[in-house]
Amino acid sequence: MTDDEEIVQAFLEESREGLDQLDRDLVDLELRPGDPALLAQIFRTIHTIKGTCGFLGYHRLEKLTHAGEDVLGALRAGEIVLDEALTTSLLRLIDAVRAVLRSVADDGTEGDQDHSVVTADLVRHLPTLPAADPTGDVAGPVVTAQHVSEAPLPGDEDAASVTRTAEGSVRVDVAVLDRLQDLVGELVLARSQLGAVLADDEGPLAQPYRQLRLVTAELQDGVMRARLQPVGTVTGRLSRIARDLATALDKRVIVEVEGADVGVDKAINEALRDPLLHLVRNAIDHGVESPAERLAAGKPAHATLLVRACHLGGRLHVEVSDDGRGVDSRALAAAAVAGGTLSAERAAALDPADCLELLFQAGLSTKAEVSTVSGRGVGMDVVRSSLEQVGGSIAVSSAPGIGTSFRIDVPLTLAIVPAVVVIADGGRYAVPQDDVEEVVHVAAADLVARVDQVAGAQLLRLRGFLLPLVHLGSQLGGLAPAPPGPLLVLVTRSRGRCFGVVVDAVVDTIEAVVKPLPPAFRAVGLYAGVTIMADGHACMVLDVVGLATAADVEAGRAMDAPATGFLESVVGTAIAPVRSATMMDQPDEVTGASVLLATGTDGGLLAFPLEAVRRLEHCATGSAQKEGRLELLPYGDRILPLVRVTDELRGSTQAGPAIDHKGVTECVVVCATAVGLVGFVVDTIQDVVQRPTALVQPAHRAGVATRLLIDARVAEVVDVEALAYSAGLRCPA
Amino acid sequence: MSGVTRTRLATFTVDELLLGIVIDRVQEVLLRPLVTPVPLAPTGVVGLLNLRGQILTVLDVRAPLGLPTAGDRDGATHCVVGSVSGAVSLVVDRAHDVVNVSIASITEVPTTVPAAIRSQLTGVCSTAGGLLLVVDLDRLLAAVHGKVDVAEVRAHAGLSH
Repeated sequence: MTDDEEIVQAFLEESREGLDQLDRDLVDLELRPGDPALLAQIFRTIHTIKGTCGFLGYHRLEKLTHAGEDVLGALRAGEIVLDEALTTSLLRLIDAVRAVLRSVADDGTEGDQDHSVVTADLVRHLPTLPAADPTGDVAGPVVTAQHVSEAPLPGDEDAASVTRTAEGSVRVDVAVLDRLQDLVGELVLARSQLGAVLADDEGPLAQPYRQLRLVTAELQDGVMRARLQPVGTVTGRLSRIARDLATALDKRVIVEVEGADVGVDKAINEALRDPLLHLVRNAIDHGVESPAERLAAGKPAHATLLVRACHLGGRLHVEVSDDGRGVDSRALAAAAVAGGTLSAERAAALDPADCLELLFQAGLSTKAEVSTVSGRGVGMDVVRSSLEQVGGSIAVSSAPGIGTSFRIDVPLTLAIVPAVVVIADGGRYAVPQDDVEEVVHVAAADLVARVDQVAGAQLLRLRGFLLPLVHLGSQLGGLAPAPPGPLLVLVTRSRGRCFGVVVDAVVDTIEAVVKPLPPAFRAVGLYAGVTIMADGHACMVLDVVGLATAADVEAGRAMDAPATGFLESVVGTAIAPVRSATMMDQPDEVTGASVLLATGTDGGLLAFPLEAVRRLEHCATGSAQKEGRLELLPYGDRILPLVRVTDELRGSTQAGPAIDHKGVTECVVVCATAVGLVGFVVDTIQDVVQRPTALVQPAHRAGVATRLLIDARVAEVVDVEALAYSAGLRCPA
Repeated sequence: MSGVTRTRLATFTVDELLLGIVIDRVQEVLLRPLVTPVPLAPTGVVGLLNLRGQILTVLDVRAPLGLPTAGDRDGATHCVVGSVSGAVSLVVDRAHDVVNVSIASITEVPTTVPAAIRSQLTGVCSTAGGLLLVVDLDRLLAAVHGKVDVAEVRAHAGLSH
């Protein structure tokens, strides 16, 4: 029984691979209809499936594949010619076979779908229509089929070489490879320990040890490579999908896949599947023009979609480029402005490359109409975030009229991660290097100048940004951070959150083989896995996203983070624990952009749109100079006009007698407005929260844009422009 | 039943208790392994250790036996046992001999034994070394692993095997 099951399992796997191959070959064949080698290969594949079906007693499958064989036989004999309709019929047959295989895999039966339409559709292409037999049980052309399969035909040589490569491979259970990798890790460890003992020993052991070192290194590399899967298992499917899509949209597309044999870890391959599919769909739907348009533009009617994969610097690069109409960066910026995610003024300042970055913003589309192809719920923002989840990235470049190119960069494997080893609270932890942007050392003497305390949270000033700091030791349950001393900060960025992790020491960088976290530690939420150090100790791999969540860090959105240099600098800081603004009975509120919460001098709750906030300052406002009603504060190399929010909202006429602010430091929210940077003086800065768009209420006084309900308190969203205007600030003429 | 009348137990001491674990479940005994403490781990979970490339969860058997926990001690003896979530390493004080006892000699746990300990035992057996407490390993592990979701344990077992 188990033997039978194994045979069926092997049959299913082989057939699935065969069908994928057929998909690719048929699309190829449509382009080169006369290619005898290709035809022979297609015939061979379908014949193999048919033969095994008969052997295993899957008669429904046998009938289906038989019909395909008949048509292919006629094609080989030159009786009929492959056209688009026939290719579609053949592809439909493959889909039907796939469906039956799925059913076999699910419950062991061939299911009860009616395939007569599929077979009839195929048989209709045959030159001499055998008496219409809806079951597809056609007896006539069987002879042809056998004749064809037995007679050696030109091109069979190529097919034979394909078989030979197939014979040269062995299926191995992943668990076996995992175990091998564990053991190789141990071997490397033993080698290192031996090395420590031998040190500079030049005795009789020196030579064998050198040999051992070499062999273990190669073995380690070999075992890692054994786990890799050709990226073609994913990219290969794209030509079929592209064909279906192009046919549906009445476009002509040729997909060229390069580097299909480049190896990559199975998990990475899986992670590439959806993003690549999305890119191909996008390219064909948005990028590629109709044949008529292309001809008018002096391009060939067939568009070319190039999917190229290669290894570069220990990572996998995949490029998806089309020769379509390109992306109109101005239209993109205009759409962002229309969608309210970008101010017109800032849009004007963006160069084309920055505009293209907008493609990765959620909810942005330049396409007016929604087609069946687009709008499937996966946006480019999802593509980017899912690639980032496996430590990858995606970049885009485009030239109007010439085409668009997306470049994906992912690690070869998830199992081996370059990591920084840090010490915190006496323990050793590995932090994935992908999450670490840089390591900053703050000397004790600079602490006052560079580290701010806002409502108990520490913020580091880093090149004009405020970076929330999280003390790893205290997050891990250790003692409170030591009294002021030099700080060692890992600037981390993960899924758009940017914050600093304070550690006691950075000791090493390693290539960590990450093993799954045992269940007992999952609930902690701070650990991503376990790795084994060179000295044989187990070491926890930190989950930076988990750390951010545990520390309640809410930082700027990905686009505002310093490393991208995109848009202007934006403060994205967490001040006190981050809460989500919710209405009592409506936990699933629609969330919008974030707001910075502050209290006015009258205790009222104020909210600043985070996209307007540039910096948070503690200023000695006493040093401001009075100029009529205005207070002007020297700020770097410019002058910062101050607006006392509470007074201004109350109405300037009621502004009480000037309080002497000398020697007092006040909280200032520095915002970008149409008249430049303006400092809004508030009493305290509280929090950054997601703004619930559903709960917007109209304002009741000037200077307030809307009102929000946040934790059952009403917050007034400050209209920074209006407030600056009412304070008497005007654009210089 | 068949002719099985005797069972072999690996014996350990934890404080004053002499514990026996069915030998089939014991993979090996480790002397002074390198344990990595894991902050914020659930009570009874001491940390992790690397056993020839395999990551084991280290559990302190004192907690489920109602004994004061000693935390991570260097130089402890560990007993590696199989469980649904892969092998785990139990911290004990000392490992002793493997004893061969007749199943008939294992009797019900006297009610005078505190309930906390009693619930972790299948029975007791009098040996030359003293009263041997035969541990119900699955219950003991469940007591430590109590908060761990069963589905998650299965998923993990499927993942690593």
